[in-house]
Amino acid sequence: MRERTSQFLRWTCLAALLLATASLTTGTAAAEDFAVIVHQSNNYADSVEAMKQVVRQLFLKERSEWPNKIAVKPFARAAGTSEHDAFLNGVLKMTEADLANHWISLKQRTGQTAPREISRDSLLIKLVAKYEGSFAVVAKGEAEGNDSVRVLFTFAH
Amino acid sequence: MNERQHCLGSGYSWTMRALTVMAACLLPVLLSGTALAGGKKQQAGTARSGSAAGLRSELKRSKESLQAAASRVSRISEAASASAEGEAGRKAGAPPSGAEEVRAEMAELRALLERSLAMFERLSSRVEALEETSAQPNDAAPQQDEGERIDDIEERLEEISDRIGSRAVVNAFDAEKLDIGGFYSQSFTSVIGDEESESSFNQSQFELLLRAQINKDWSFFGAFGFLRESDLDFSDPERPNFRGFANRTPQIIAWANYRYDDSFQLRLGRFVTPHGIINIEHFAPQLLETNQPQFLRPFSGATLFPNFVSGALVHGKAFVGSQGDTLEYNAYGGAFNGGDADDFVGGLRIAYRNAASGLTFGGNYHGGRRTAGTGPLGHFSLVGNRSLTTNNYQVAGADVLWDQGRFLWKNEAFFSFEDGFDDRVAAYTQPAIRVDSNGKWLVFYRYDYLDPGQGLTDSIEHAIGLNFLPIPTIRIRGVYFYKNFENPETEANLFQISATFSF
Repeated sequence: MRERTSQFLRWTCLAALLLATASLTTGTAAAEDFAVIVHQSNNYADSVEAMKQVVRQLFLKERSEWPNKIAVKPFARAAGTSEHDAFLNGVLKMTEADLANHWISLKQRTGQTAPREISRDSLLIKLVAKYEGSFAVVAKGEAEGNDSVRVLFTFAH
Repeated sequence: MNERQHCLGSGYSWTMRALTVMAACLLPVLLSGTALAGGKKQQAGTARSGSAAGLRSELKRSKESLQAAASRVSRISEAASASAEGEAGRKAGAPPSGAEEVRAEMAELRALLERSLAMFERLSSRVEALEETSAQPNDAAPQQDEGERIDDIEERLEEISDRIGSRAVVNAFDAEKLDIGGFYSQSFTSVIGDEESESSFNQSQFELLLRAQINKDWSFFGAFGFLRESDLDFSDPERPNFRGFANRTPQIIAWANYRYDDSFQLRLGRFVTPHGIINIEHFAPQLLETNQPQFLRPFSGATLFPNFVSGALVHGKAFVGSQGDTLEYNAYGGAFNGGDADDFVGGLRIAYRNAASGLTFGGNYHGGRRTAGTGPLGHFSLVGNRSLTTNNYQVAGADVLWDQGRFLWKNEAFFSFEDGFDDRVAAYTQPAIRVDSNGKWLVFYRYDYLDPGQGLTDSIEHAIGLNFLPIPTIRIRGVYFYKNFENPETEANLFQISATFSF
């Protein structure tokens, strides 16, 4: 009986340890911050949730201009990068399959294609600084202290 | 002062003077070198500014110590001169007062000068090192960054080179941007009737899609089909059969679009009639089964409303609230290409999408005129492209789409009010579930009812199928259909396997 109790306690401790590790891992991932950056002259602002919805619609080409009437030029990150995954979960709220399906649907109905993918943060920041209606997602650290672009909002993975 | 001492005092004095002059000459050079290094270093970053400040401080201390040494040398030199002059007036042989003290101070000064010289050597070496570093264009971190960028550019060039090789790149005549894509779809169908059964690789569809951005506001989109099809004929429901293959090259879509803003756009040309859900999706890469519901058959027909219209379409959308909801409208007028050229039709659709729930509600109105014509029944259809009656008509319909997470549920119902003839009714419900989280596997069921009017029999069709998408641009389907006919009362079973590849 005592042996069983001891074994039960051992397994309980092990399970608790695993759960704690898992929760710590999750906490670390959630703490990773990203930013949606826009051109310095783009003065659009709203609540974070409203801005997320607008950015979602702009990225998916459901709308073609910012609420302040600036024509949009979105840039994408390559699939599999942490920025892309964070944007997918935190802003688009879609799976990879949903997103792929969306672009196929749009291509068939109107001929429109997905935004151009840019892999390097430094180039992305230069492009966003260059085009008035552009926006992109970068790691928060890359955007901070960079005067050539404006951070529209930040979000967690 | 004796001869030796005099010589010593005089030699020492000249040596010290020479050293003082050298120090005075060297200091500005060293200080200017440090300033140069410090200036360039400022461009390179702040990391080494502490080092420059330290160097300046050391040079200042050296200068002060050398100045002190020079001052002391001057004083000693003056004292030695005075002593020599006094000695000349006295008798030789008597030791000068303080001679030992002078010698000790001279030794101390030599040591001090040696230390100062050593310090100058060190400082000179450091200034040289700094000058070499500052002569380089950037510091180490930007150099590494540049290297990575060059690697990226070379990789990108390699990719482009690999794609186009030595071939010429396609240029648009005048468009700002030209995109070309399309899809290919192949079907295999087995039909088992009450009296007869047949199988065939009955459909090969290749469609080319082309979009040109003419300028900021105007764009063009076209879809051109190259089809090889053997239509499944149900004119005798007990003995369904495949007709001979036909090659068709329809212009499916061709329109120019003017965008004023998101709320107002004008489309001119041949476009998909904006009603319902599946007719708007329309193309095979999007469809869970390639035949579409019964009321949309045959392709390019007008069983209730035409699949396509040639004319003008005004459309736009409004963004409602801050949760991503949209209100979309379409209003159009034009001709149905499958009927007489003056068969004018028009319609309106308004749809509201609630982003949070994934629900879209659509309301549809369509009206116009059909002129009777002759022709066979369409593929897999109870009606042909031409109506059997000539009359005016009006259609009202509603559709509900639920697309949320793993659920995809499409529902449409349409009723046509035919002037002087039987009204027509069509409705279907098609729930589907994405089996896995990656959306690679989907199962669906469809209940599909059609009363085509015109004196033709009603038909109920059940379809159950499986979709597999190994990658998002490839869709492989297996579908089973059970068709139930009212007149004559009979049934048919169909199995269809199809694959669509979009690019």
